[in-house]
Amino acid sequence: MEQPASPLREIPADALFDESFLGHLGALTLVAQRIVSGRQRGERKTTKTGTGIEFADHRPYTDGDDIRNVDWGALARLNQVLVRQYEEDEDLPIHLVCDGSASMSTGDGSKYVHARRIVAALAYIGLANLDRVGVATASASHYTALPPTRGRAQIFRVLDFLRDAPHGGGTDITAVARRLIAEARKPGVSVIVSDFYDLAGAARALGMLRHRKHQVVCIQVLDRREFEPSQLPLRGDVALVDAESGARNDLTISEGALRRFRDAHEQFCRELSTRCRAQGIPYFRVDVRDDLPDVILRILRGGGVLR
Amino acid sequence: MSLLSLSWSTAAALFGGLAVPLVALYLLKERRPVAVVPFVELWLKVLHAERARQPWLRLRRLRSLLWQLLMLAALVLALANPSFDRWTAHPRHYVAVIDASASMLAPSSDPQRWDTRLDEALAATREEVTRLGARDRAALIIAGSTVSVETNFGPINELVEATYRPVAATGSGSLADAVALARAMTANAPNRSWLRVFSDDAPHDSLAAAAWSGCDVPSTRCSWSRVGGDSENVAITAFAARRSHADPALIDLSAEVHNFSGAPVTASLRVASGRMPLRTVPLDLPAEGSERVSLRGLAAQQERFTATLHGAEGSPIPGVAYDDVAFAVVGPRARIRIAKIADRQNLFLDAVLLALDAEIDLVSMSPEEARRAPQLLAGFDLVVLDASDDAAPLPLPKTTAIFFHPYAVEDRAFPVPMRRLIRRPRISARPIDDPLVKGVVFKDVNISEATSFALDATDRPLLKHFDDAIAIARAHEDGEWIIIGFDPIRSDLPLRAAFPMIVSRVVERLRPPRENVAPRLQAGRRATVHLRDLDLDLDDGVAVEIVDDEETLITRAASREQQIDVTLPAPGIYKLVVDGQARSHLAVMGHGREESDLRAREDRTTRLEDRARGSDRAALPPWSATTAPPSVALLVLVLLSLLVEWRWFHQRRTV
Repeated sequence: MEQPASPLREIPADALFDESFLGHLGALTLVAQRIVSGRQRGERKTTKTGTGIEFADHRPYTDGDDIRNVDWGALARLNQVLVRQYEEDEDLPIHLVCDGSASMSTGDGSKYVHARRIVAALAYIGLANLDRVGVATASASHYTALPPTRGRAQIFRVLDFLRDAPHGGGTDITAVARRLIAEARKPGVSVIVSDFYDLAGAARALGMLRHRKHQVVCIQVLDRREFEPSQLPLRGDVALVDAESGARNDLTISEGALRRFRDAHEQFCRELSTRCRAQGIPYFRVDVRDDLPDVILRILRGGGVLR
Repeated sequence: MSLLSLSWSTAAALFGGLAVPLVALYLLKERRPVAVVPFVELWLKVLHAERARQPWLRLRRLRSLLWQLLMLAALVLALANPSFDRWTAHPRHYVAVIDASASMLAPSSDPQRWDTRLDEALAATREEVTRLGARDRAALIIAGSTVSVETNFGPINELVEATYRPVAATGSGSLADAVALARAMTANAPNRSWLRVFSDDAPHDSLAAAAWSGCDVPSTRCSWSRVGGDSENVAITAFAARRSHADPALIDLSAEVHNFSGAPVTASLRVASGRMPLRTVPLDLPAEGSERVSLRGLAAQQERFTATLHGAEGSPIPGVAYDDVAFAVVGPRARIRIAKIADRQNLFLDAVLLALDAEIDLVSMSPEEARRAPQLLAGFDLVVLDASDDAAPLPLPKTTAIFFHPYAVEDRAFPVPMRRLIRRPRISARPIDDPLVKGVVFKDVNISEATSFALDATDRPLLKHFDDAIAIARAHEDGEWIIIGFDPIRSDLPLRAAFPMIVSRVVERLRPPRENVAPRLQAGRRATVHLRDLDLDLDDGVAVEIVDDEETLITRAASREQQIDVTLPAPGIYKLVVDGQARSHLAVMGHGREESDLRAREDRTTRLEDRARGSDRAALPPWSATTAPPSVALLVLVLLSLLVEWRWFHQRRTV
């Protein structure tokens, strides 16, 4: 079988995180601080109620409850003994996972570049907020991780890690989720940056993470040239080679097939979005031609990564 | 529909030959462009549904193959040049007559584009017929040494193809016959016809002018187009050879060289006999002038002569080359038919006749045989009678005869009476100016005995013993008798040069004057050759072959009343072959004065324009789509199909 050319096009290291990108990081940090202003640094609220100072809910009084938490006002108004619950402040780590499969590197490799820049930007913002940030790149064939670390100065380790991260292999988000769960001592914020060209595996992985109390954020990075009919350079008889498996398929592609492929791709993305919403997972679709600061701000405004 | 360029079977074979590899290539695995995609699972899902919905997509490759086979068929059909019978049912006719006389080898009007006027004429014809439509039919007539119809109202491409074939331009051409033929071809055409003549001159002889006169009629448009420009030339305009009257063994040659230019020219004329050079004559030709060269008494080994013109010191002379050479032959020496009637062996007489063997046909017979068939003697030019013992009367031929000692038997009857018998006579006198004995030495001839003759008024004494004529010549209606009154054997005359000289003089006097006449022909002109001039005597219907120096048969003619009619295409010297033997030669001149004068002459041009009414070439209809050949439409169809096929099937880009 004819072997396709190497799907990944190496991006020069300097081009991946150039000065323009680093300049954007500083500006993004300021904006992010405004978005999350009013909160104490290092604080991240968990879903658990505890001894925090921020009111969370009421519940009926039970034996053994601290009498100081009884809401006397409510007792007077409602004639019910209710206990105030407070959110528990907890320092949760941010796990940033970048899909390093071969499907991220097709074309000119811009998807993988864009994904790594998003991860780097989020990591920088997290480190600047004194969050503990861990970074990983993963595929079906490899998983490399930078353990959670804290402090702005660690950004260079993160950049070096992303720059030198291996890539290739298939997309297996389930395996990524399993690895993430296994290595995290306690649940945190898990940001998965991928093209999610493994819909069944992605749904299963997101479920697993949610089940383990991870706060998951999905960022789907796409290259419009991969599914837009007007831009796809495919006509007639072609041999389609899967970037991840290398499997060759001789197909005849017509204009109608291109249109249907675009519709199917849109359907796939909508289904991913629907499944994320169903589980309360923030979902962002990013095109490689989108401006990186806009993407980061959209993610930050959407919430989920920083609070 | 019919195919004009290929037969149906050839077209089918061509299609089959091209279709087989095409199909084979399709059967082989098609090389597809490879595209690496990130999500092939989705592609498969979509295309699976597509295939399920449109099964005809599976036949897409077959459709492409059929499409290409259709294009191939259209291409082969276009190459075959199809023609619809309905289109050509009533075609319009175009006839091009191209002058192929020798002067058409002169430089063209634009030497950068065409070498010769002939090339220019052919190119002009090609250019003109491209204006015709597919339904028109064209004929090409080459007026060379003979009229040749190269294409007879075929499609245009046939004529164009014919103009690329080599054309031999020699002689003065046959324009008159060609024009007459072209007019006959267009006379009955139902639609409009065009008759074009391309020549370097207007009709310059009466025949051509007569053929051209009245050509332009409502149904036929005639025009005479002049090709070629002005050109200087130096030419041999005349060359002739003959045997010398004084001595037929010698040759007289004459030539004329003309300078058709405005500047003096220095040249030389070289004359050769066969390959043996004879003379080189320097020439100083004045502008617009000529010089005659006369060479007399040349001793030549062969009967064929060539004159060539050369520039001074080897430099070229102006003008064309075809008229820088000329050919001539002299007639063969006649063979004299001699009958020897003798009743004894006369070695001296036999030796004399043997010396003449190359020029005579000798028949020996006895007096008895001659008497039995006296009519036989009439067929001989000369009869030699040497009967010493036979007492019977001698046969008396009505032709020229030599009698040796007619009164060897005294009482033999003989028309010239004997005067007396002379013992040991002496030759005391002879006529000084008599051609038979002039210059012959008879001094101290010893003769044992002789008889003298009684002369009448017409007798002419040749040798005298004082008053007795012992040798006389008697003239009669068909010749003369030379009567020697003594027996040469009984004298010492045979030991002297006088004896063979007398016999030889008699033979020479018998030679007919026609041997000085050699027929001269002009290339491309039909001529009648009199076989007698070539010393040939052939019965009617005998085949005469004319071959060139390389024994290539040029033409064949049958004799009729001692004549043959021949047309020889190119200048040169040819052999006449009868029954496999070369019997004589013919010289053919390649040109005349008219063909060598390459200058543009206003009078001719003016006359040309007068005759070529409406000679503008725009009279021809322009090419139009309605008259385009179907092959053009087919080629356009193939081209469009290729574009469509490429656009919709083969256009691919790799990712």
